[in-house]
Amino acid sequence: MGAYVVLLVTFGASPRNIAVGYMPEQPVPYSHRLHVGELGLDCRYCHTNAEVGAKAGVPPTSTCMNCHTKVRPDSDKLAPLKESYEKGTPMEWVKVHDLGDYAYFNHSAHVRRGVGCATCHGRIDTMEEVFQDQPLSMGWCLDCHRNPEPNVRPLDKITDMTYQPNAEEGREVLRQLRGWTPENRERKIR
Amino acid sequence: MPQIDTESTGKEYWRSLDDLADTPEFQRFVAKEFPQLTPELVSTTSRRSFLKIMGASFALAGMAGATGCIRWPEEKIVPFAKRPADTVLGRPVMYATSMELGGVAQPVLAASMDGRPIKIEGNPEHPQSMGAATSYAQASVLDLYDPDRSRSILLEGQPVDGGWQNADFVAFLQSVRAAGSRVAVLAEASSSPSFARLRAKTGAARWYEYEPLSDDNERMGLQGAFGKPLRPQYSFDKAKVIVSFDGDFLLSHPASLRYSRDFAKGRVATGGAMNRLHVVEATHSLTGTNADHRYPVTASKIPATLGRLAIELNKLDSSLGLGPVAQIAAGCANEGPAAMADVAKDLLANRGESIVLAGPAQPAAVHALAHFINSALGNSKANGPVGYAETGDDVARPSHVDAIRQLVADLASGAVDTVMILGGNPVYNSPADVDLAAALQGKATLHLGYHVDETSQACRWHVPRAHYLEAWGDARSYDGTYTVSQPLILPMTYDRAKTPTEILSVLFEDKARSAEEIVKETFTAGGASDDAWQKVLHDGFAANTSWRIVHPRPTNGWTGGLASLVPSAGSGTHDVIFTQDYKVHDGRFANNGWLQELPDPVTKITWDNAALMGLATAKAMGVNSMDMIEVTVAGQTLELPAYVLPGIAQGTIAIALGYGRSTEAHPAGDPVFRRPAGLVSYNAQVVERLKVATGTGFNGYLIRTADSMNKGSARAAVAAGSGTYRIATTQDHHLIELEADVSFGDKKEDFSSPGEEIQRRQTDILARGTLAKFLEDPQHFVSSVKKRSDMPWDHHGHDDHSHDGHGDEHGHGGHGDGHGGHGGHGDEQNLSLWEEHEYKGHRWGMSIDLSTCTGCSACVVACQAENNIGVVGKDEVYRGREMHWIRIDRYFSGDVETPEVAHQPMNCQQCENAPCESVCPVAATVHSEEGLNDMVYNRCIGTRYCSNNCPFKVRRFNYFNNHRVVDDQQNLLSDQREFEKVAASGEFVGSEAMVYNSDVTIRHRGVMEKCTYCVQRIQNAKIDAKNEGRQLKDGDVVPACAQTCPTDAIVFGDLSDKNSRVAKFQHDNRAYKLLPEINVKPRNSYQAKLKNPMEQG
Repeated sequence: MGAYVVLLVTFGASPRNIAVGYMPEQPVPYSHRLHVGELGLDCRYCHTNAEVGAKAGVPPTSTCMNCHTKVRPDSDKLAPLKESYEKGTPMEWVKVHDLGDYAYFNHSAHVRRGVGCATCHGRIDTMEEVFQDQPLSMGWCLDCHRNPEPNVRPLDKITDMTYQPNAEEGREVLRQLRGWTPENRERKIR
Repeated sequence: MPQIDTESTGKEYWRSLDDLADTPEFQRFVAKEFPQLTPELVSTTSRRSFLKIMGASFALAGMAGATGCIRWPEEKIVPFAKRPADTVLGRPVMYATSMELGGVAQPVLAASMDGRPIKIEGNPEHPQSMGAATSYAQASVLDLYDPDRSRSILLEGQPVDGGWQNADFVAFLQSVRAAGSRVAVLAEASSSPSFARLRAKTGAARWYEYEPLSDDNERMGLQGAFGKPLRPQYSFDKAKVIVSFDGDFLLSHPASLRYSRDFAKGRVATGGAMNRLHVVEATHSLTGTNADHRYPVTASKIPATLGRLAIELNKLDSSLGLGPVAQIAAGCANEGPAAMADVAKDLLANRGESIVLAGPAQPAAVHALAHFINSALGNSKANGPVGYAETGDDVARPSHVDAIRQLVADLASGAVDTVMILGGNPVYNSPADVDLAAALQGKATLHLGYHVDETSQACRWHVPRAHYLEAWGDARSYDGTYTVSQPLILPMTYDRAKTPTEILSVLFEDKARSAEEIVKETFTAGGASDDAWQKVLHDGFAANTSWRIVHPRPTNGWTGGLASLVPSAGSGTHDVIFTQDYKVHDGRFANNGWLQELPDPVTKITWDNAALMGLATAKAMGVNSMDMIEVTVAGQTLELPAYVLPGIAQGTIAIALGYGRSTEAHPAGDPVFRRPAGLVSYNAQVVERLKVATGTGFNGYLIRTADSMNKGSARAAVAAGSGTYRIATTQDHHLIELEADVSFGDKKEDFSSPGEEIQRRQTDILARGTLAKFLEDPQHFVSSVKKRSDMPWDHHGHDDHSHDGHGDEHGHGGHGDGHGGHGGHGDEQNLSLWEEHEYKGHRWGMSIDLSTCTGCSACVVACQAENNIGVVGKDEVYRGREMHWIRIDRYFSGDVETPEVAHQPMNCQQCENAPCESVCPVAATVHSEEGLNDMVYNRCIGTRYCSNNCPFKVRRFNYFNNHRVVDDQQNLLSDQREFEKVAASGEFVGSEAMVYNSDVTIRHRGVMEKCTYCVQRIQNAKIDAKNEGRQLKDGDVVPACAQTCPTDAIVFGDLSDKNSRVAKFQHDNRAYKLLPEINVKPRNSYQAKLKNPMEQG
């Protein structure tokens, strides 16, 4: 019995099993598959903060309405969006990728150092609704921090959903990033 | 309590009188290294009932676990509907704004985190701040979120329907305008040009200005001496000798930041020179604690002491032109200390490079004479230490004391029947012999205020006042620089809160305008462009708008008041003085938990004031600290506890203003609230709205007469009262000492008494000396460090060793210690039990200069704001459980009546061989690769071993959930019914949680915490540098304490960078580290405190 409890807690409650696949219902059925996969929007069109701030940021309603004042403006599914835009009241999205409040994760530090969006968020371009693809546990963070080579990618491939990171290119990226000098900064950052 | 009848226990240093007398109480408190754990101090719950409760809690936790531990609670992401341009989420935006305090603008930068103002810092570009901010300014952001703020327009205590549109209210406002000269406006002092502009539109309305603490006496004195209103402007960096008569220019002064910075420039002994500060005072001010020579003089004799100084100067050099003055003041020749002759010599030797100044409480004649002496000594000259700003003040403005008297007289005569009180709390803080509350009875009255306070209760209408972070405004800083304030957030009130300027617009303009429009109009009226306005908003001030500095000679005929310098034999036995409180000011910050819990920089009292007196006075009265006494002035008696503070002049009792806002300590009907009977039907609930201020201290205003405001002190009859009152001070908390009974191997040191060993170490902890000695032997402090790391139990003598291995890192940038630190075990002399750490990158370190630290405690509040440090309340402070990560240790030394004082900021020393790390059973405190002792809150299980093992006593334990407000808020949000109930009741729950810095974890109950060197600032600076593709440079990382330090005494940086400021300071020949004998290798270093007394003989 005791051994069963230990096993249950150790494996049953592991983030790999309880967190991965979390897919809460959102106020508007926004499809990343459609917008990213089919229409080819770049991640940073909406998540503008990812390169400069700690949080990637969910776009303001006004970003959606850049297109949706023209594209399907009368769709029922977009009604909450339209209301938010007109009244100025914010949308309330449910957080999918939720780290502990004690974790000081900074998007810009990762995005600018060769960690691609897909590495942590999975193939967003195929998700009809966003779900959690990786465990986002401390052990999972450490796996990469201890062995970054196979996980980082060239900085021009950060938002590339199909790129497969590999140790060979990763090593070159890291060599370049760590060998930074102010003179070669342009080359290093973008 | 202290019985110093044994006179001397031979102690050189002592933190309190209990310490000096080595009373059994003190020994017991210290012997229990952690008195906060003592069972008798831990309240209520018995062990058995505790287990019962815990059992129940665990059962509940288990139930919740079955459903709740799958994921943590669902969180919402709520983006802007339309995001303002250039917003970077999660990064604070700094706005330049200003806080007006007593008519002087305090320039600040306010950090707005995603729309919430969370932190105040000084405005580095403003000449009056240079990046520093006072504790008042630091803590003011908490007032913004004060849940006790008034939020509605009230009529006789009840919220009115419709607020500003309420028909009765609108009719009332209209009637005011129609009332013409029967309208009185009672305003606080203000230097706002916009406010002054609107004042011109008030027509026939009568104008009264009142502040309980102001520089009126100084203004009157200078007006007498120079024939026009001038404001002295000192340049302390140009003075070699400073003589202050009760002038606290280092802390209570409105320009204290600038003055502190300038004063500190003369305290670092560069080039072998230092300034010298003489202070004549009755109480013990912060400036007094920094004096090279301090002369305690009872309050009523301070004017005469200045008279004596003039006589002595005239004796030494009759060509100064002080002859006629000396003649009039002849009666002062034997008053005050004889040392005035030495002071006079010192002044004469530094003609043209000295300052004589008087404090704002001193009567006008003292100010006039001080400036006459400055003129005679040639100190007032272009580029000299003394100048005068042409303020352009109204010469005809009566003093505040006269104004409030006049208002009461006009109300009594019926000349005025409508009173608009624009801010302040005059019913509470008007002179004791001016009964404003009674005069307001039955009149048409309106009060604009932050809280429903004593004045609101005496008025018919109450209007919520906008906090400076919610409002547009402008004001002049102490030197006259035009400084603006701009809102960071909309007023957090139900009915729109307004500023005094906006109220004037509502009352007296045809169409009420917003303050933004009014302020902009004021600025652009002179033809300034819109670009210039944008620049002012960006900078927070308009450069080069300070008042012109002039150097006039005193005119004839000012000597009239001089005869009054000689004290007259008034009634009473003691002098009572009323001082500006270092925490709550005149009472305006009384509801601010950060300030209430801040230990007073001098007395270390928290949450209270007391009747401060010297030991001789207390002995003569037969009372001890915390015994109640009765102080009677002009027939009014105030009961309050005595508190014995060494160094207060014999015969003087000092009472800090701003306390005593209690309904509990003072039963109903007591004049504390001066509630006009029958006028206002407030219920008790409203009276108790000031939840923090209520129950703290005693109201000095009850015995502060108008006369004593003019004279600077009052004669009082003083008697021992009955009972005692518990005061929570932090003076003996967290005393650094080692086990006195040191045994090592088979050698047992025989210390004749534990006290002796503590004393020996105390000189090590607080290194100090005089400038003369230091110049004689510049290596004094370096060699004494070397000597000290010979452990008392290790008498082999290693004098030939270089002192590399003592925790200093001389010139070996990049390595852990003097020998390279490649995983070795330290050097031969100080073998370390642990492997040394190896550093490849940054090694953070701090240096604190004890010569320039004035002890002002701004760093303590800055740290509290930055790091979300909890407020625990008076009872918990009494148990030694205050949470401050940085404290200022105050040491007395020398004679008990004229002690010297030293301040020593103490934060986590981030030891290299950290004793805390090795004892943590769960690795919750570990060494980072940059040398910090990191706390991993999630791992902490609260054994407190680390705290027990910390030689510096800098770790703080959360005995309770000090951030309950966060839980309250979350519970409310998750319980719809409860939320609606609270929303309907009008209560603001959890608004304080908005002040939290989201970059810093909230610590829960049962978790240890301590200074992190502001690791969040380090990480943010590193990420920014990486993102910008550059190396981190010196000065990129500034912890909150160093940021706000008015004297730049705290310097932080990378020790691996040999050229960083901190590395240079750590290797300067005043640098030393604490407790080298225990080989913990602190990352902090201190620079020895130097004083510059006059040569003897």
